[in-house]
Amino acid sequence: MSQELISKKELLKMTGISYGQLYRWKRKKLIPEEWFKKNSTYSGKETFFPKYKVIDRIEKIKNMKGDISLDSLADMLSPDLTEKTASEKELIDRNIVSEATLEFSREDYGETKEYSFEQIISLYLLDKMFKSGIIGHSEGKLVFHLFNNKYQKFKGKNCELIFFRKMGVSSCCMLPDSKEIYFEEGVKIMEIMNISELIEELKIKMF
Amino acid sequence: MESASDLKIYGQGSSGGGKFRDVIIKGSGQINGDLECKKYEVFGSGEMKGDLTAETVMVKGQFKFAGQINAVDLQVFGQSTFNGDIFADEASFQGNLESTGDLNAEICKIEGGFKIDGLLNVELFELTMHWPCKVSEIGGTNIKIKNETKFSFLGLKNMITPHSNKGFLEVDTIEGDEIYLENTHAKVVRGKNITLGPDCQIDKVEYQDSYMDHEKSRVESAEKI
Repeated sequence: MSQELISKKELLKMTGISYGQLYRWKRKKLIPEEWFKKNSTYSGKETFFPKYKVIDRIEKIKNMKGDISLDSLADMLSPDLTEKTASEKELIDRNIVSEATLEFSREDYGETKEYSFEQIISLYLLDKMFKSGIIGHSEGKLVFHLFNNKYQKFKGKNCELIFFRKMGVSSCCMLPDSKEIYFEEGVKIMEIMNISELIEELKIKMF
Repeated sequence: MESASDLKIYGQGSSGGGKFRDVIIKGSGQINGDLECKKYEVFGSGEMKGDLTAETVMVKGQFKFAGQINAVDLQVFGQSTFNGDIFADEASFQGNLESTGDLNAEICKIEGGFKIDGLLNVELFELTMHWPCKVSEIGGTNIKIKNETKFSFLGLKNMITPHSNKGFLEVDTIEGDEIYLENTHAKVVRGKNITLGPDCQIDKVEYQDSYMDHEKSRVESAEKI
């Protein structure tokens, strides 16, 4: 999962934003703290960013900031769980979760009228993974339980869910975003789901 | 918020925290947990062990914050210590400020001195320096660092006490759009428009549009990018 990095200077040149803007967006939490990485270079310490993520984010901010205020933009981009809830019908109507996934979740959630935002994320995550065909029915349980039990531990921080297999045995783990993780050679990473990206997608779909 | 009650500590006392309308400490107080309120006022001394979320925070005296602070308006007079990050729309400090975390504010005015281990991230920053200051990084839009000029209580105190006015700001990097510096020792200063006043020692200046030197400042290298 090593990513290409870009230095702050290059980033500003490429995107045409100023230091003031960059710091303002950082202050408003439009650009997550974890993306600011300090590395030592020959000219002292410099800040680096994960290249594609940060450029994508800045373009998004530049495109959207005319329409809505920075604060509501921050709400949309931050992985904080919103108060938003939705009913089963809404989820299906808005094409967020498929009927089959809802059926699957009933074993755990039971008959639910209103899903909390966190539950919706878990459903959306599962739905995406089912649709991509990477995981099967029983493996969905693994992912589902891990997410439901452990997501709160991240307290709104960005995180990733990694699904992997070794010799036909599957497992999954969750870790903070932009952290390095290494597996031994026999392990095949099937899918990396970035939860904060999922949440962003979800928020756009739901609002 | 409507139904919340007030918390008042007069004399000496402590509280576990919680949700309140107004919190007033006169004397010495200790808050042991997270606290959320509209108005937070301290006259005297105290310690806050949890996170504080408030609309206005005013401290006169000596106070120690161990957690994070979220405030619209933060005013501190006296000696304050922060161990968590500070988020405020408007922050003003008079006296001495020490922080191990970051200080984030739209408008930040400091008169006196400070030591910040983290990043000072501000839209508009005005520092009137009365004694040595230290911070690892400053980032923002409009950054103004001045040695004391205006007549004030702290200025008067400095005039009559010995070794006054030897203050300078020690900083690794300053990055911003409009930058004015006096009495600053920095490794790197990067910005759009940089103007130097007297008594700066800067290793490297990188500027985009304009750069003004000062005869009483020393700059190792200046480069237009």
